[in-house]
Amino acid sequence: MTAPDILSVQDLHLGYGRTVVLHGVSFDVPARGLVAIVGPNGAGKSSTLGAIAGGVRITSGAITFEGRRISGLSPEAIASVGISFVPEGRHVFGSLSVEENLRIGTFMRKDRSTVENDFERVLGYFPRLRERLHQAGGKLSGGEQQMLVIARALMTRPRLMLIDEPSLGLAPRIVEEVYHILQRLRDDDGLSILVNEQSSRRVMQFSDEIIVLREGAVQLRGRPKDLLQGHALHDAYFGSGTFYRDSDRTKT
Amino acid sequence: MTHFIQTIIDALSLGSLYALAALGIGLLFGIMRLINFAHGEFVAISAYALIVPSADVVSTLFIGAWAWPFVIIAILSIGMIVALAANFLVFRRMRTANPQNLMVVSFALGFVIQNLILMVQGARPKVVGLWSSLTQIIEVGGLRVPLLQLVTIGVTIGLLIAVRIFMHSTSFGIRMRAAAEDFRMARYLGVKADLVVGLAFAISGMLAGVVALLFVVQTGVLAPTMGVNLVIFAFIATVIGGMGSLSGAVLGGLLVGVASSLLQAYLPDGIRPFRDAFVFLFVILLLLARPSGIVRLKQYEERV
Repeated sequence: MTAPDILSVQDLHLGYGRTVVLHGVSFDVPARGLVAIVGPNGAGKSSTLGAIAGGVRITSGAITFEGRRISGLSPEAIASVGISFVPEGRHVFGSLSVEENLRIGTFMRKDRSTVENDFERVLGYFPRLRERLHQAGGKLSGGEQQMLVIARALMTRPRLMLIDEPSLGLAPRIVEEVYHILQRLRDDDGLSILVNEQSSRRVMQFSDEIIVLREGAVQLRGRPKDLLQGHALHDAYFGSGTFYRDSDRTKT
Repeated sequence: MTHFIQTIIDALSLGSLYALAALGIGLLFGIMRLINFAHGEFVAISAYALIVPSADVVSTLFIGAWAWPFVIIAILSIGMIVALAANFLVFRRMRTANPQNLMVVSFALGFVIQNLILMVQGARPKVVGLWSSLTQIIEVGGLRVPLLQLVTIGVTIGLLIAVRIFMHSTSFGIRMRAAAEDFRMARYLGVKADLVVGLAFAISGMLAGVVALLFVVQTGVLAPTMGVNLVIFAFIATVIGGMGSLSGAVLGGLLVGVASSLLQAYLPDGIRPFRDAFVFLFVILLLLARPSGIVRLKQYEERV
């Protein structure tokens, strides 16, 4: 790993009641990296992102952001150190206008003078939102809502963004648009990004690194171009010894 | 015709009081899913602050004897402090509790406050003469209207506009609306939970102070249980308005107040004592027609 790590997750354990969800998950996110956690339903992907964002209580382990331990902080404290979380299901504030949705994340910022700048810059990435600034957030289409929640997360001026299932329920064309914007954010703004995806080969190709999570543990890590060859990814994803070992059956 | 208009003003004035109380309850429900039955006791404490604490039946004005701007400031501040104290001592510690438990705790808190008032001030109702000049009848275009009713309606309209401006045009209000809709998501965007909850309690408490003043001037009586009926009607108002919607709570309050005043005025003498039964019958019919209240909010439907 050449780039320094912006986020480091060490030996993370968590569970709900008696159900253990993660047992000993460790990984790093390099600065200016776009890392994808993939894995089947129930693998613990959402819990992992939720734990980093402070919304899910961990049992043990450590989460470090820019060298500072953040595990145990409240969600709002974690947001204010520079991590923005886009949970699954979008969570647009439906009765608030698009502009109010975008502004929510700026109220905690101390650099008030740069807020207007960022507002314009973010709308530059998502021009369609500009036309709808005064519409209620709940009135937007699914794709527009996905754009809005990413734009809203950007307005907190994060250095690390966590996105849970950005492509869920979106048309392939919009998924590509979302990922192209994420790549631009990484390249132009130096944003580090950690996304969760259920397996989608097309989505994986956008990321710099893939982490395969299954049954609450990291099964495999690597670069997409290495992983997408051969059976390693498939085995890690489904567990080895599955009888339909046909790469065509991997969900795309 | 003049009788009808007078009845309407009467109805709007009672509806205003319920609307303000319902708004206080609705705000807290929106932010933290707390149905605060102690709201009536917030009103009662604020009202009792007008007089010198004593177990005597005869009351001596204390804060109530001050010049009226200071009375308003003091009583609103006391309402706010009581609400913030309730948050600090009780509700803040159970933010993750489910709504049922929160409601039961608010009931308990209400009883505790009622009994505290009972211990300090005695159980018997006390007569308080506050701002008696407001009770005079004025003539407006042939109508004879109690000045107090016009003041009540005016104050309510003013406060509703102020709350609306606050909720829509200030960063605090926008944060509160976001938190009311999706508390967790708001926190992920850096909205401080303590801040929005504290604000909701503060505004709710101030509204309780306003209700206390209007109520005392109107009835002229203090009693430890004075807030109980008020809070029940206000709670019903928030339900028929649509839980979680502030405009719904206000609308519901107006509706309940108007309904009971009109029934009071137009029911035949023989059944007038049973007015409340008719009010609740109206509530049942309304809820049968619109089970989720007048203003439906998507986020509550999804939870079912």
